[in-house]
Amino acid sequence: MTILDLLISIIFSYIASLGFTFVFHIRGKLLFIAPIGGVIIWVVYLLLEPILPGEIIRSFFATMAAALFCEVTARIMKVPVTVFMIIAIVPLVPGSGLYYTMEYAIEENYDMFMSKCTTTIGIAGAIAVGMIFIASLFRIGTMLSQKIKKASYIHSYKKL
Amino acid sequence: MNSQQILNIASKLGYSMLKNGAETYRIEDSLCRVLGAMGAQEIDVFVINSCIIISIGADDGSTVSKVKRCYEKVTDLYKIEKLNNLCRMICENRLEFEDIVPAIEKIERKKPYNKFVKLLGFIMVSVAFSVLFGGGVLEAVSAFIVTLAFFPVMQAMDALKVSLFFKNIIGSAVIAIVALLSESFLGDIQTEKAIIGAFMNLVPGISLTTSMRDLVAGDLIAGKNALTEAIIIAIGMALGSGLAIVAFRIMA
Repeated sequence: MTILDLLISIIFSYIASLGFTFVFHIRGKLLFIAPIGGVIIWVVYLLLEPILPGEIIRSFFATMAAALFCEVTARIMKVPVTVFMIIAIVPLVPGSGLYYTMEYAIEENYDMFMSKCTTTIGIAGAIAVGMIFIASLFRIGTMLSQKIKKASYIHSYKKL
Repeated sequence: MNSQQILNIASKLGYSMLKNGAETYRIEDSLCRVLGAMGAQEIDVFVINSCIIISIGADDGSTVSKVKRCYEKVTDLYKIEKLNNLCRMICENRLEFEDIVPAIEKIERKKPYNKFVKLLGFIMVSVAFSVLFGGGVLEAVSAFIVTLAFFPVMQAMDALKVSLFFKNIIGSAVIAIVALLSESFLGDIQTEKAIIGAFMNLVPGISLTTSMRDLVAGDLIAGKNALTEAIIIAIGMALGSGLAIVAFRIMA
C-alpha cells in the first residue's frame, strides 16, 4: 500500500464517518472529533493486512484500537462512550460481507455462500468482542481508582 | 417535593433518554443515581428497549411506581449527551428541583438536523464507502444517484410508520434497482461497489453496538432484543436486494 492509498483511505473514512455524525445528530465540536474513531478503525484494519491476513482477527484488533480512542476521549470530554462508539464502529460493520453472502446465495454457489456468511458473522462477533474487551478493562480501572480514592480518603481521615 | 413528583421527573428523564437511543443499562444507572440524589428510598428501576418501570418507596410507607412505554425511537446522540450532563448536574445537586423539568423540555425542544443535512450525511456515507471498498469515480457517481433515489423512499416509509423488516426490504431493493439501472447510462461499472456503499447507510451498526454493550453489562434481555433487531435488519437487506437483483436478471 502506497502513501497515496493511505491518504485516500484516511480522507474518505473521515468523510464517511462525518456523514454518520450528521445522520445521528451530533452537534458542536464533537461533530469533528467523533469521526476520528472511524478513521482509526479503518486505517488500523488496512495497516494490519500484511501481518494478519485474516479479516476476523484484523477486525478484532482494529476495534480494540478504536475503542481505546473512544473510551479515553469520552472520559476526557465527559461524554457517554456510545456517542463515539457508534460513529467509530460503523466502517467495519460488514455491509460488503452481507452483500456478497446474498450474491452467492442467488448464484447458488453454496461453498462460497457458507464461507462468506461465517466470515460476516465472525467479523460482527470480533467487533463486539473487541469493544467488550476494552470496555471491561476500563470498567475495572474505574472501579479500582474509586477504591483507591476511597481508601486514601479513609486513611487521611484516620490520621486526623 | 413528594415521592410522586420525584417519580414523575425520573420517568420523564428516563423516557427522554430511551426515546433518543441511550443504552438501557445507562438509563437504569442514571435513574438510580438521580433518584438517590433527590432523596428517594427503596429505588428499583427496570428498563428494556421499549419500556421503563420505576418504583420508589413513598413517605408514608407505601410504594409508588410508574410504567412508561416508548413506541417511537430515534438516534439523537446530541440529546443523549445533553441528558447525560443533566443527570450529572442533578446528582451533584447543582440544579434546583423546579428547574429539572424545564431543562428536560429545553433539550427535547431542540430540533434535529433537517432533511437536507441528513441527505448530505447519507450521500457522504454512500460515496465515501463506495470509494473505500475499491470503487472509482463512476461508482461514486452511481452511489450518489442511488442515495438521491432511496433517501426519499426511506423518509416516506418513516412517515408511514412501516415496520423495520419491510422498510429494509424496500430500501435495499430500491438501492439495488437504481444501481443496476445506473449501469445503463454510466457504462461498464462495478455495481456492487455502489450498492455496498449505499448499504452502509442501512447496516445495523447501532443495534449491534448497543446490544453488545448491554450484554456485557449483564442486561441480557435488552441485549437480546437489540441483537434480534440487528439480525432482522440484516435479513431484510439481503432479501430486498436479492429479490431486486433476481428480478433484474430475469428481465434482462
